[in-house]
Amino acid sequence: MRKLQPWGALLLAALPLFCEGGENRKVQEILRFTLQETPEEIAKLIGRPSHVDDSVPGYQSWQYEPPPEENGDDNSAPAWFVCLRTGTRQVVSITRNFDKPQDVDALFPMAQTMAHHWPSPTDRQFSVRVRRISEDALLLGMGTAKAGERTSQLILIRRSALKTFLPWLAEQIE
Amino acid sequence: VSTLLGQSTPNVRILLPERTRLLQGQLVDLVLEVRNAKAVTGLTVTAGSNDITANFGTPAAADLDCAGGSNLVIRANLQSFDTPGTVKLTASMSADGTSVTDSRDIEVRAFQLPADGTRRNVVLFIGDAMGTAYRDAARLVSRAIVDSNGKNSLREGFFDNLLEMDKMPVSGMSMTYGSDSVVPDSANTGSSWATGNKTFLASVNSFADGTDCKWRFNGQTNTTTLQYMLDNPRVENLWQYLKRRFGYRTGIVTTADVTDATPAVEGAYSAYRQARAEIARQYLENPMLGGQPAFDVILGGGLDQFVSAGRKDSRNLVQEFQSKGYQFAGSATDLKNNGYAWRVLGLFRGNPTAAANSSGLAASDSNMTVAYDKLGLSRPASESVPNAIGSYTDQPMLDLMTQKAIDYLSGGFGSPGFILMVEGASIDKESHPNNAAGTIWDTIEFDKAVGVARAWAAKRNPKDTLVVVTADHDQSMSVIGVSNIPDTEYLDRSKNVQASWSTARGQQAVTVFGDSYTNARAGLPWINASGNGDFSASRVNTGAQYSPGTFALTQTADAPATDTYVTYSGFPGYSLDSKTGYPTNTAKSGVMLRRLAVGFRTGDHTGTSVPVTAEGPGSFLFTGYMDQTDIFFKMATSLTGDTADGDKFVDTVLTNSRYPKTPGK
Repeated sequence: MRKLQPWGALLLAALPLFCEGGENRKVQEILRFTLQETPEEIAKLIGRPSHVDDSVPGYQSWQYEPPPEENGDDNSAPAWFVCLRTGTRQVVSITRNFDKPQDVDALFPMAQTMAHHWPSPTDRQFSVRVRRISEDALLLGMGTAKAGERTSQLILIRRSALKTFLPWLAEQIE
Repeated sequence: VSTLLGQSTPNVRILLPERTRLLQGQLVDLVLEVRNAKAVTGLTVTAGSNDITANFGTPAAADLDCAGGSNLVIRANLQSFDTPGTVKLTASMSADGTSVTDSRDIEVRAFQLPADGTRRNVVLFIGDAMGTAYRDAARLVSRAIVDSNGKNSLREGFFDNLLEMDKMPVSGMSMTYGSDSVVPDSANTGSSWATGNKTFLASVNSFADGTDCKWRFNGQTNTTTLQYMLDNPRVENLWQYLKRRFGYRTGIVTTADVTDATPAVEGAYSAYRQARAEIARQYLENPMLGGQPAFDVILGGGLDQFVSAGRKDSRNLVQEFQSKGYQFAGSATDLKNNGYAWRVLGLFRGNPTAAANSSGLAASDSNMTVAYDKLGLSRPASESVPNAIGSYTDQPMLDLMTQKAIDYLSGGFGSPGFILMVEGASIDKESHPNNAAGTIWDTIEFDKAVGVARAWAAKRNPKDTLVVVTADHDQSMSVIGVSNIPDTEYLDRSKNVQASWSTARGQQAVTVFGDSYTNARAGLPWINASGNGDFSASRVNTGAQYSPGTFALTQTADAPATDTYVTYSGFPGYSLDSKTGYPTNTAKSGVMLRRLAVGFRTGDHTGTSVPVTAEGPGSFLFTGYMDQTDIFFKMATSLTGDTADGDKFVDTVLTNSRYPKTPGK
């Protein structure tokens, strides 16, 4: 069996976050990432993508098929999206899609979590739980407003990228 | 330098593919993206000698390519070109004081229905993922029937009776590439045959645009980004084109959720196939038809996308369809017993509890139960049963749905002509998890539905119905031999073999299964599709991402593939269940059933071309290698009635004994 040393350093760096609360390893995995990784480090962590979309200048999307235990046909969104800026080779966001909604409460301790609503706090058509992970990294539980609500999508995104990808959320957070 | 200039200087792009092909009058959104400019003046858009500038709206600011800066989008929705020939579309303007221009040569093909008022019909069968091996496997299982005297209908390499789709007189091959990849999915391949134009993965009848980066590249697909999936240039499909311009009746029949990609391309427009709630809404309020329903007949699964509990907008589309005069069917019994109706919505399966998913875009899929399980055939205990029957115990088989759809569409008040798509969906859905029996029996079910349409078309006088059978794309199954495993020795899928190899890239491990009725795995090890996302120690080294490199086999003890099938010996032989008309898949007591052995190289689609067979007026057009987009134009041509010469030739070949015939055909 392949040894784990190549990603040991990254693993250790992320260990405090990864080990915190919760038994659902599948949802915890996203906290292995910090968004400070290089593309090479991403490849060492989760391998080479099964699909690379680079049809938009400035960005590259690395996409990974769902693991076999998750229902994977062409209706299933890729399990992982890693969005990279090609110029700076910076990881902008990492998205984890699940085939079935997951309990992610362990990732969103109440004291560190805010709920935001689209298009506005009074017109709640879509909600997101937001937790600040680091200075420039936010964890988003998409489509959930409070503990107990399950989600099929977690996003780790640079706060600085919110204005581009989720401007309504950037506006509310600021 | 040029790249830098390109990024900073104003420029304009017409969002149409280089090889845009349209029928005359076919609707398409004309969209101009102007980058690096705050304002434009002097906009002029011409189509040949016609100035169509007035059709364009006011420039709107947009964040194109997620790059910030100043960009504009200028739209003229639902435009068409009425004169056949090559139309040069040119857009020019001054963008922040710089003159910019772009152009496209659009091929506009003539389309007129017969002047005498006669109308032809098309029934298009899509076996999802039904590449050549899938047809072969269905034949080798359903046409290798051993009778009570021990006589096999497959003897000495000949069949007594070929598949229905084998018997169609004209064959060709369809190249299925998308606009962005060799290996496509059901959405962009469907867009090809539905609209005559190629597009990108997961797109339903929509071309790429500069806001795709908002969701395509980061996977942020949800209610807040839906607007960017619906702002792409749309191109009208043949179903809406025929209904809008000529009053054709339209239908879809599928064993999938009716909002799945293959049925969606006949009735919706979304750059993301999983915007299911929106797709269902467009079936009711179609943008090409001024908000009127897309179809006269909808039959399949997918109840959850239509009921209040499954939708974020809480609309009950079943009731809304009913209020527009649709008869509703929720079971096979309904479908059999309901009287004739002009419009029918049949949704035969939902989930136990309907709920919109957290993205807000859809409810969970509710595909119909696959044929193998509807027939109650045995699976190995270790093999999952997707879309199990549950409480939906009265689901129709595909041949019944096809017969009823044809009856509904062809009957009633006069005969305006109809176009119907019938999909065998779980050929693909069962191939993804490499469930051989599931995929083969679904192909057999599909072929029976083809037989229904052929029989109906054969009775027409004059012959006015084109039947086309093809696949949207292939998958990786191969016919590899005959299984020599007795029932008692089938391997449990949960007891697969972990084989390991030493390579220059380190130690490799793959999972090899030797399980499953009808299925012995390929000689090459089946590589577990992914270890991605599973970081447990037992899985980190099983993903396909670790497979490249030269394998040096160091472990030969476990070689299940060579134990489970024979390559060069014998034929399969199955028993027929006279009640269902399908082959059974269990051995009689004391007899070893010789099953077909198939192997899967992956659990995904491939880029291999797929067969096309056709019968009826215009069928001769479907010979030879063709691009998948050609199927759209060939179907359209058959409807014009201008096919007499070719039809006569095909009839001569079929009826004149000078020409050889294939045994069993």
